[in-house]
Amino acid sequence: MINSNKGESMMQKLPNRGISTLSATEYLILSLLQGNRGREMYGLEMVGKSDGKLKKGTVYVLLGRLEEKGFVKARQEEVSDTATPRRLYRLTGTGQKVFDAWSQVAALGALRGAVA
Amino acid sequence: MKNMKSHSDLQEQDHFDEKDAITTILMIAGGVSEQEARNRLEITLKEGSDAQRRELEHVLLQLRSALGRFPNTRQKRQAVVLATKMATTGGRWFHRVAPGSLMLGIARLLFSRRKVVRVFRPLVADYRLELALAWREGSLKAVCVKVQYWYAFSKACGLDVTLDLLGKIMKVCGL
Repeated sequence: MINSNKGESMMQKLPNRGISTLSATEYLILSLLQGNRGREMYGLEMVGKSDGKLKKGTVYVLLGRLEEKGFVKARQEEVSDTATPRRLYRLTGTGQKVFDAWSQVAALGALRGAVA
Repeated sequence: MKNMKSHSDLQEQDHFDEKDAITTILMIAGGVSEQEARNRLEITLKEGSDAQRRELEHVLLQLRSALGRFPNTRQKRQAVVLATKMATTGGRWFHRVAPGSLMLGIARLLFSRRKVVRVFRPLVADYRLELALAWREGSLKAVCVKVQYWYAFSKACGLDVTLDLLGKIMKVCGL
């Protein structure tokens, strides 16, 4: 049986122990990229797959922030049907580690909720 | 009227692509025969200077994107409309501003180059793609897409400013 107080204190301590902070929508973007098995995705594709949780106006702002943090890597599309090439994103090694860490935190939170 | 006859021959084709469109434009706006227009196009693509080829390929890409807005059955007619407008306006109509240019202009004015590349250019690329697809479904759908993307753009501007401000406040507070 997990002590709920211990779980709570871990949750509070984790961000201060070096794990980067991640908002719910940033986590959602990382999970979409993770679920895509290494294949690159573009913003509009993520908006479509998020069931309305991601908006067109916020997705590129969040992707820009994740890129600055080094969690995702972007490159310009080489061949495009449109005059403006799109930007393709994939998860980096650091992004993968952060996603795994936050998945564990989320699982711990869910377990704590189930126990309580 | 020789040109118009050739043009009607062109309309009988089943497959109509951007090369056919540029041939139509050369025929109507440039006043040359279909064969001559095709020859000029092929010669420029094969033997033209790098700058000429690049320019022509860019025009072909723009034409492909512009024609993509319309269903196959209307593409030929649109090429004729385009060519007629070019012939009457001296090409000014063709060089009209691409959709999303105003958004990019505003973003360039307000944000750093890096932000424009990372946030606004991909947004405008999506906008152009969705708008091109929406034109196929009708002008009402296209207006909806325009409204959606202007809202998205304003949100991206606002959110960007707010997040940056929050980040600076957090830094100042040592969080």
